[in-house]
Amino acid sequence: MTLLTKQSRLARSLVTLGTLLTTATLAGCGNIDVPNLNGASIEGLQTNPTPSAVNSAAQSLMATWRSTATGNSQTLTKYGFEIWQIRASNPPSLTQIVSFPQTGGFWSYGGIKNVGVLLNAVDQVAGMTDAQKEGVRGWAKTILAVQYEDMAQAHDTFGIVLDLPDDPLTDVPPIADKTAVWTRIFQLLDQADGHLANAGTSFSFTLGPGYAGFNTPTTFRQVNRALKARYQIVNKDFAAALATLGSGTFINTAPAGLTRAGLQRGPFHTFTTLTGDGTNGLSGTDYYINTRIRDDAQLKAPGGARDDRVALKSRSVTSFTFLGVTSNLKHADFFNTNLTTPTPLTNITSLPIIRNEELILLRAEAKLATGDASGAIADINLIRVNSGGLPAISDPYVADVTLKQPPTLLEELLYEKRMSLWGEIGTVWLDMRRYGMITSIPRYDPSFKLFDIFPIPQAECEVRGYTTRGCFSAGYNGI
Amino acid sequence: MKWRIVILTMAFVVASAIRANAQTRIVTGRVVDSLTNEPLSSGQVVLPGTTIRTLVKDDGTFTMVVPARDVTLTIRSIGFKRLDVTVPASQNAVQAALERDYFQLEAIVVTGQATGVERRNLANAVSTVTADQLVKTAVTSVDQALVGKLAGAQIYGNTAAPGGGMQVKVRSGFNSVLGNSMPLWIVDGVIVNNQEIGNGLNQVTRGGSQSCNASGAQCGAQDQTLNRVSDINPNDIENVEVLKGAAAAAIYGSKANNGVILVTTKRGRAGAPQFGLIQRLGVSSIQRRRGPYRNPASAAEAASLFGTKANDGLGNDDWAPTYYDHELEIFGNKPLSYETVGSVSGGTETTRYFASGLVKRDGGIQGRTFYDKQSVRLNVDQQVGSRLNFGISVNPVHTKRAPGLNNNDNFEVSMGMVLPVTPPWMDMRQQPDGSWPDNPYANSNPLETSAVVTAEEDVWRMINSARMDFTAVNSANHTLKIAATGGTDWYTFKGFVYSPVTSQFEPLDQFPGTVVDTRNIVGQLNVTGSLVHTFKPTNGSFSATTSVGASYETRNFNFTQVFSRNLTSGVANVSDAIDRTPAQTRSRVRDAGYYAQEEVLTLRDKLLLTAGIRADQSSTNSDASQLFFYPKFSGSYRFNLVRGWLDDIKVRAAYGQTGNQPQYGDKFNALGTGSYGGIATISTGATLIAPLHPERQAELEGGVDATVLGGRTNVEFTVYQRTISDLLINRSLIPSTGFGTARFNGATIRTRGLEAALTLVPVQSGSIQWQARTTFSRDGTRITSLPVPPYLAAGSYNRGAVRFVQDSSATDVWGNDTLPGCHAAWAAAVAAGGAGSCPIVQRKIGNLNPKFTMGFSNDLKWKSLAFSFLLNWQQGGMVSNLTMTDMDASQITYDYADPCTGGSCLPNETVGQQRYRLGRASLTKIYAQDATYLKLRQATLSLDLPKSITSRLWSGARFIRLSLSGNNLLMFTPYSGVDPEVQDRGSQNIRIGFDDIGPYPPARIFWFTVDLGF
Repeated sequence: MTLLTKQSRLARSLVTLGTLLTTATLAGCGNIDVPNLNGASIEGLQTNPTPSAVNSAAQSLMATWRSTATGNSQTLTKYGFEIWQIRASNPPSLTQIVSFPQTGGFWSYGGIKNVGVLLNAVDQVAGMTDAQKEGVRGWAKTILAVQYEDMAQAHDTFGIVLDLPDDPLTDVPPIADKTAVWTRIFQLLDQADGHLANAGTSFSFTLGPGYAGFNTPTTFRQVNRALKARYQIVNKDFAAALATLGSGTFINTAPAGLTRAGLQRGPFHTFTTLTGDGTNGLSGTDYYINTRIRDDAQLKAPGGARDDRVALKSRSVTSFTFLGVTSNLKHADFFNTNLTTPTPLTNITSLPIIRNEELILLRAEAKLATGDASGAIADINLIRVNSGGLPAISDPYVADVTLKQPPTLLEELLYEKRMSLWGEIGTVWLDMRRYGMITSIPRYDPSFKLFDIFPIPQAECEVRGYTTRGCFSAGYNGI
Repeated sequence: MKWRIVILTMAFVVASAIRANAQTRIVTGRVVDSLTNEPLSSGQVVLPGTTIRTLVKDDGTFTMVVPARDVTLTIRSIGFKRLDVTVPASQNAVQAALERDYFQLEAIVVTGQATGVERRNLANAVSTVTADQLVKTAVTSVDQALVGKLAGAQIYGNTAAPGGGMQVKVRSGFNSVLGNSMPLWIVDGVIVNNQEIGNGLNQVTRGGSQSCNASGAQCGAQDQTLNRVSDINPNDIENVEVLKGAAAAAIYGSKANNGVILVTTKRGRAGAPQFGLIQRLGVSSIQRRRGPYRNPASAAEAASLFGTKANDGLGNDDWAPTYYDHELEIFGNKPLSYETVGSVSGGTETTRYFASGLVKRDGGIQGRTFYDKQSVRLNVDQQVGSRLNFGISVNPVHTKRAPGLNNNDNFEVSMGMVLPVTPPWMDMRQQPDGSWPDNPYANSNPLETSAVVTAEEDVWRMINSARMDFTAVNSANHTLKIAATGGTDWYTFKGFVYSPVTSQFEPLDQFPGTVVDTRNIVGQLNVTGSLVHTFKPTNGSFSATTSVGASYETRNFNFTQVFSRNLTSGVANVSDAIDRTPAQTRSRVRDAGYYAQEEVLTLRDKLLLTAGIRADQSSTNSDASQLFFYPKFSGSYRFNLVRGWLDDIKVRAAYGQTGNQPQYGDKFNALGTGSYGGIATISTGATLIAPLHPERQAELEGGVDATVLGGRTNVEFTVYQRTISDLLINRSLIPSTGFGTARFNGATIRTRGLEAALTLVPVQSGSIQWQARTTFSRDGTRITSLPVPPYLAAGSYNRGAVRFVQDSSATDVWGNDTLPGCHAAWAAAVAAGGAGSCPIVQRKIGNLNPKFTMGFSNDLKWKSLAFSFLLNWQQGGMVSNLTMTDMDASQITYDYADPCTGGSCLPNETVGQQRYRLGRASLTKIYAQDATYLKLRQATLSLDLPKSITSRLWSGARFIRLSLSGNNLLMFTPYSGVDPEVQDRGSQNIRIGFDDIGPYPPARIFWFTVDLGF
């Protein structure tokens, strides 16, 4: 019996010990949660927004826009054979452009989602005036329009998605056709313009130094209208573009607008090397310029000096050959107007959004298309003389072959656009496609492919079927 | 608070313990090896059913106070079979000859937090590697020492840079996508950190992100990272036990999905101090190289390969250059390595100590690269009375490493990236005036970069552990032990990178000069308290062991980095720069767990049944207070037949569940912050996060272990099936949702595998001993449930990707392929004067998981000569060789100009041209290659100097052993790169996509060792 007693005593002490230990442990470790030590919660913007959060989110759209523009200046320029990315240790940087259509880029909805979050937050925020809210809306919707426009240009007739799905896990949003896309873009620009008109005299958020002169609701409306004019030209709505250019943009053909600084006037994307900010990738050692810009440049006099814009935008470097591509030109800092000593484009050289020089050329293009050749020639000459340092062309246009002038006035206009906007927004690829002349872009090497439109990304094709129009797998493989 | 309660409770039990005294006598004994009659230097003598026990001294003797009546003593010694010796009341001296236990069947193997059983009863396939198997030659790290020795483990050398960088995958090449994929390492009860931290070189190479991943398991992954378990001194280890999966490791709960590796260090033995001194000297040389690169045959060819540059030397009319082998100029060093290990062990029966010291240097075949380690260990065990036993371990370590500039790069500075674009006809060496020639074809001169850029890692670490066993009750029928173990692991990692303003590449980004100062401070603590009760009825029909316990763990790290560019005065100081970028990542995890386990050994120690349960909570779960339960059951039955050729056979089966926590930070939905020209910006992230909880593995394992042929052969055979459900996945969302990924517990995968080990003792006599061991394992993982459409889980189609598709292998490699016959048609079209091309088809091109892995080790001993070697064979698997893509692009691959043969060659095409043509058309198969290999990992020849010579040399010496050994001696592989094991980004859950990108080439090392005991 002693055994039993011993056993039960033991069992009792075991249970007691176990209970004590467990209780102590549980009490000690009841709340072991750890907060996020590395970042802020999303609640501050999504469910309970503050004016500061709304303004910071509005400010982030500058970066959104800048990365879109970077895509144009670094990718569309490659597709138009304006520049090369040559790095011997990374051949795909060159070969992917000439072998395969890029399927990932120009299909970016993160920024569009962020605009949606911001527009939702601004509807809920307490502590902002109605005018301030209108300012945020006008700014945000302008950038939303730009985001769509960027994709619309790349994917053209293949179309893009307009409305983000309610349930990202299950819904597959429809791809809207080109007409619906552009309708939305113009709606957004016009809505933004309306919001800006009611936005008072200043924004509640801060814009970067590149927006100097365009950082109030009133002045930013000019940018909104200028973009609208550019998009109307893209859609060949030339008469409407002419009207837009004449009302509310910052086009300036007065003498002050025709100086180098006047032609460069407009909003810019700026870069810094500050933490969390971005730098201008075109300053990378692997970007070279297609020497066509120099070879095709018109002359100031027979056998004379070249178009000033060559020296404004490019500089000579040691020649480099890779996979059959040779170049000895790299980007120059186009803010340096001393053309005898071009300086390299740096990692903080600003990138234009839209500037007076382009507006004058857009007006020329609109006039030419609406039958006003003389008006077009007048505008073209403003640029030729003031930007290129070239002699004026004759009215009516007769090409002077000794100065390497092209045969037709349209080609002459496209030459001016190419030289003025070259390396900035992919103007060669966009303009040549619009006029059905894309196959005449010299490819350098006949084995290089030319892609006139960007396919729908592979992931979008997987959920919609590989035969979806615009999918790489549906047969599109460049021209 | 809880520990105070434990201590109070213990004190209570001590006070209430009753001690009986009786008439006693003194027994002395001598324990010897039955084969050689040599005394054993360690062991334990126990009088079962009492607390009477003693230790065998180093001369094989023991002395013990026992009752005056007849007693039966049980004598054990590691590596020998247990022996019961009856000492009649009339006899006070005894001699015991113990038989060798070749297959370690009587060694105690862990079964729980505080319990263990003899291997012959074990119900799981737990692999054990003992000290003599672990360290046959100099090894840098414990994981490196395990290669080829375990059935059921894939061990990869991510980098061959000095110090290495290893990844251990237990029982499956694929256990998790987002969760941890490293096994849990526990050294003497301390959970040790195995983080991989880059030194910051990525800021110079622009290879990729420098920041930490979500868990912080990796920070700056492409810097040839070294996993920190390597800090442990392998010479200190007594044995390593590997609990491979849920069936064995369930008691470790939600951290055990990848297996648990238990490392036990050497403890002191009673007796006069025994000293050991090992001095090794080694020399290494490049074992396999990418080159020699092809040299252009003429100036014209050189110009066509490299293009023309102003200062490239191609313009000379009489072009007859000397060719330079730049690869060997960098990796051709034959540095000296050394290792000095000193140890002392001794003590009394109540106080025992083991102390060791290590000083080591591994030289690197690339100039200025090295790995240094200094380690000190003190293990002390103290017996207080007959019931209380304390042990402490203190282990400070310092390691320093310079791995050189290798791996991926986006700035043409890393060796493997810039060598193919460095002209072989130009002398790139330093000029007599101290300047370095510029490389006209790339951003850098690799010889200059290697000589001037510093990238170092410096770690000071302290791993301390303590354990306490208190035998509260010890009667004939009951024992109750209270056990507590715990410890801390603390270290500071310091990474330092300095790239001076003077190098060719530094000014190119307009920020000349770079200094990166990286710190990572890691602190971990874990404690476990257990109660273990054993009940054995007087009739001995069974014994039942009940254990309950609780554990708590916290893991912290704080990673900071200051990245400075544009050095004003060229001083290597982060504040001496115009452009400075600070960064920080912090992590803190708290876990608590509770467990209970019951083991019953019955039917004359033939049947073992176990059941247990563990409950875990963790701060990594979305609900930190929720408990997750992990049960386990196992059973084994041992038939003792002794009939014909079959000696002993055991059948076993085990089932268990474990978990794998989300990583720290995975559950948070955070705002992204940034700056635009100094203006604050915030934006929402691209990840949609569902509430997260641990992944759950359920594993069923069964096996047969048999000893046959008169104790000469042991076979272990195991099959298992594991199912991991609630797999944490980042599902890619289509871009038009505005999100990149959705993170949630979704998929289910199933792994089936088998493991076999065959140990043979073909010859065993006094003078010749031969043991051979072969291990074999294979496994395959299928995705049995995937609630989302197929998606790429890792990699890219261009370079090889793992694509998740339901009901297919989880390790299928997908890539761009072309239709059969198309290449021939292309060639025919070109031959006919036309043009050709092949449409791309995205499909499976191989499998990442090896078909099988094998290890084959042999130990031969003839008198005082011993020879051993280890072969390691992996069949299958895949590596993506980006290094070769680059070499082909530069047309300098060693075989580039070999004529192409076969129907798919274009006219006059070379093999290199064909590879590049098809690779450029994104045919992934060209560069995603078979990772099969057979490696002679090590071979050792040693000689024990005869006692006569030893004693003449030095009377105090116990033994002197001389040995000649080699590591990484031979490699046979169809793989075209330097090593099919490399992984550019360190340890990866899915090892595909960015594998071989200019890695550090492997080295072969020969060692000469003097091992002295005194």
